[in-house]
Amino acid sequence: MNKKKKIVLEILTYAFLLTMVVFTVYPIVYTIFGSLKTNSELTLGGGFFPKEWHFDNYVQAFVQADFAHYTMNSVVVSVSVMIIATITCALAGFVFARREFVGKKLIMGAYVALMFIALGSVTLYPIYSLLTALHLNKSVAGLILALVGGQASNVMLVMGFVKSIPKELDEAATIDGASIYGIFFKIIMPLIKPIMAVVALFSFRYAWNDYITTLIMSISLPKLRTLTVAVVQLKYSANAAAEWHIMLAGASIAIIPILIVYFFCNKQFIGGLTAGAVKG
Amino acid sequence: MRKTNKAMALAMAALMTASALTGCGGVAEETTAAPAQETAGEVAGETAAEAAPSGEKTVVKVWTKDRHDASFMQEKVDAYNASNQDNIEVQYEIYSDNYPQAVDMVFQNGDAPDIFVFHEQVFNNHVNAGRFADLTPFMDEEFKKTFESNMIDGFNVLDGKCYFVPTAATVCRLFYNKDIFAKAGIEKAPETLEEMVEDAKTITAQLSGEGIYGFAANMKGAQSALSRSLMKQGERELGLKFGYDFKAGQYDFTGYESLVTAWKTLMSPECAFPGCESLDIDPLRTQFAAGKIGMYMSFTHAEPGVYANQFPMEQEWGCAQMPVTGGKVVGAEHYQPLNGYLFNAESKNLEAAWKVYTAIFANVENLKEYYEAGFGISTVPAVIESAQPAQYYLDNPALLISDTDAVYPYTPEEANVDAVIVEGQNMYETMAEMILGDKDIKSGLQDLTDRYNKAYQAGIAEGSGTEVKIADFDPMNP
Amino acid sequence: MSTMSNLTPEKKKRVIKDNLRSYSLLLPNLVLFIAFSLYPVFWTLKYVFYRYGGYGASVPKFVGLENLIRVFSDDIYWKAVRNTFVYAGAKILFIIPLAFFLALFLSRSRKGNGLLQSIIFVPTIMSSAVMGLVFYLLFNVYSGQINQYLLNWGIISQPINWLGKEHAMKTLVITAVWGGVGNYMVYFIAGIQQISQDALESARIDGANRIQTLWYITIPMLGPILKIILMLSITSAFSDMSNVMVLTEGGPTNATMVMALYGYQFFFPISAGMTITPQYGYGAAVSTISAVIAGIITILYLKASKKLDDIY
Repeated sequence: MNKKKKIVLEILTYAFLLTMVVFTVYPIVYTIFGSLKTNSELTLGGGFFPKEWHFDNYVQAFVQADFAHYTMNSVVVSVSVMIIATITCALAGFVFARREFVGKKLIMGAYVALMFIALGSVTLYPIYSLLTALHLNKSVAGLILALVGGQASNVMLVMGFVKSIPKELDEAATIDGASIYGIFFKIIMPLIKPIMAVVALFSFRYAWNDYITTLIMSISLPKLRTLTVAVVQLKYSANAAAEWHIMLAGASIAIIPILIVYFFCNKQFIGGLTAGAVKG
Repeated sequence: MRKTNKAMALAMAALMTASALTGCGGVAEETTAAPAQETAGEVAGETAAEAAPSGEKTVVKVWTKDRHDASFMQEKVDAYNASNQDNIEVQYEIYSDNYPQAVDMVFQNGDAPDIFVFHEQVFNNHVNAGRFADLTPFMDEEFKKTFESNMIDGFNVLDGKCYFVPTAATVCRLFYNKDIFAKAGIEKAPETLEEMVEDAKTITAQLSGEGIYGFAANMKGAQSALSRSLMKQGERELGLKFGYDFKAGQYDFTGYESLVTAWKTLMSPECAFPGCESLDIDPLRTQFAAGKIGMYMSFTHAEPGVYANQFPMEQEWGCAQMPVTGGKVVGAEHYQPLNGYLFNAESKNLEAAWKVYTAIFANVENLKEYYEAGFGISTVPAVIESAQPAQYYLDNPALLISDTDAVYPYTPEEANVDAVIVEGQNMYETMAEMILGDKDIKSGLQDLTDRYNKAYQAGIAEGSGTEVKIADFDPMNP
Repeated sequence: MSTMSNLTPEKKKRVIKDNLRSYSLLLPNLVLFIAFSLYPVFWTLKYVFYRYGGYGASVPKFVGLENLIRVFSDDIYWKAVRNTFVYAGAKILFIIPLAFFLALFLSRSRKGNGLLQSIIFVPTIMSSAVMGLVFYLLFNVYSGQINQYLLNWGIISQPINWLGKEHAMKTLVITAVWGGVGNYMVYFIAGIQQISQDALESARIDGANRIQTLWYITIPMLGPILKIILMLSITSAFSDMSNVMVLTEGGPTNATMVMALYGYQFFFPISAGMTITPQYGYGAAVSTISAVIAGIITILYLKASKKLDDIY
């Protein structure tokens, strides 16, 4: 290959990468800069940067649109979902990988089968009815449980990971007289921390970003709304057309925390995704 | 329902007097304010006398869908909470998004509030299941007298039971931008459908270079768009409500052909503001306020306030009756009574709820302030007589309910939504497809007629639906 | 375990205890699984055969196959199915090559590539609903920034009606590609990094140029991971819904209505302005058929990819 051709190829490569980066970053930057513009500047187009930096948009969003409350909800809900999902998946994954018990085949079969039945969001109706019957529909607990959901694929993910740990480790412990609980907490759990981190990150992301489940659980109880639902519902509010700046401030409030989380653990996010794809 | 028309005539008369008096408005206000204050004093005295000396606060939950009057209402509620002697606390909650769904869900899970603001769909959906309380036993003579003309048999009074008392109303009208009309050399608002289409074409042809277009509709939601426009034109042009012919006792959409054809032109690039297909009502209003849209159709109770407060408009807007083909009006336009309050039949605090209701929401003084502030068009004679209406009602009498407006009976689908389950798309979506050119108009309307009648008949056959047929139905005076 | 009856009472006790211990750890997840995965599926399958919904005190009524028959004559549903295929097809068609080339360039160990990977991956951590709202503002016809840039740069003379019925699907696909390309890029990078450097090295020594190594070594060796990537992209494209719900609400006139959203609207309204009388039975039937269609596509794909294996 001659040099000229190589240079052309390099330039094309960089042009492609640059385009993709601009394509990726533009909507996010638009959101953040837009949240600092006045409404009229937004609806008239305006430049890339705000003419004046209106940080008071955030004050308005937090105070008038009650975003302080929704932020709190988002944090409580996402952290709870993350903890419950991670612990229950780790336990179940371990049991499936290491233990023999009555009905194992049947239960595991159900888990695997349900991963392939894609009924979508219509299942939220029976879930809502069930939570109503249990009197959980009026509290944040019901929303958290609905968001944790069945977790079949995460359980399978953990199970795969546990299986890759040499069995000799816990067999030795059994001989030493360790109970099943001891084995899990003292031996397995420290070793499956990486995959637990993956489940934690992804369930946190899911709960933080979820729109439909949270929307339905909060229709009759708006105080349960999380940031995501509150922001999107601004679109249908009475002042929707007049308040693009508040919508964008709301959108920024919803995306900035997860961006910060990502900034600190982007390696885990990316690595976790691969773990899921290759093993799951 | 003739009684209401009389009330409307009274309203008009009162308005005329009021407008005659605008010159010395200050005096009129002062004289009317005095007796109203007396009534307020009386009410306060009454409640004080009935006060129960118990420690626990009785919580009365009120749900509303209205946001446009939120600060006004909240103020009244706060004042009541601070001053009432019955140890009642009112919780006033706004559910402007998804209000009907919120009500559905809360009825399912048994945590319904004590009072709901009236919403036609909410009422129709749940009244048949006995979920709303009959208010008649609570009413005293004075209440009955004050709201006599607001009791509309077949609307809020069903089989002698009164479920809510509307105190305001809204109608649909054509709103137009007078400055744009002048710029395009059009002298007056269109009176016929043909004129309207011509005007829209003229405006778009002459002014689209400046980003100004003849007509717009919030077609993002077909139901929201057409129920405030084409369906209302249909009432005037055909005497049919939502495609239902009360006289024949069946659905018939074929008569809408002329309207739908005209709408197809109105929504074409020849006339329409670009992007109407994905336009919501509020973005439409901002564009109208910015002087980009010549005409659109909407409800009269909301629009004036929108251009005064929400999206301040510099140019002058006008308001006219809904144009129909050839200007031939054969039916009244159905006006929509508003601001009624439904009571949850299962509520344990009905007594307290009634106290709250009469002190805040059915309080003539409050209603008067409400009307004067332009939040809604009052239909209570005692209010109309004493109030000084907002200036825009005086400037545009077409905003008000007139003798060409009346309340129609419920169509079978409205009377029982569960009994008319139409397969395929509903009338709004189907008409939107025709208007946007996706479907043939003539065959589409026939198909719509067939599907609706099939669903209607199926409901009757199954026993859930009842036949609605009024042999001597007069659409001019329904 | 089936031979439990042969055991001595003492051993029996131990086995039962052992089982109980297993279940004690499994239980938290099992309860969630039964309540939130299993029960809803059986509920849905049951009501496929009932007329159920509406308001009032409506009691479910067994109607046999009525709902299923109605699905087959429901034009809008089949329009939604077509739309789903168009959406899924277009999304996959754009997202896979883009992701592949990004992975190819960014998997080389070079300064800055890690940062670029992280940037391209950012959209996947964002809420598709919130970003749907942002895109709704960006693609707005009359005051959205996209049209304004295009107009200012003289690329177009009239604003493009991005959310109108002609372009809404394209707009939807653009936003879906935006939200997903980082995901698939990461999968491809994982695949590329598994390819042994020896094979590439020896090819290069043999005088193969970059394009030749790409064509003869890299792509064939990506086979297994490509199969997984395609599989994931198909299943996710068939279930995408919240971005559609926020950006276009399925409109205009159902131009962007997809299967998942169509079933959903018989249970819950898509937006505050749209209402349909709830028809749980019919909605269950629609969703079940949609699930079957998605299942068939998955199976066909698996079969096809096995055949491809045999050819290679």
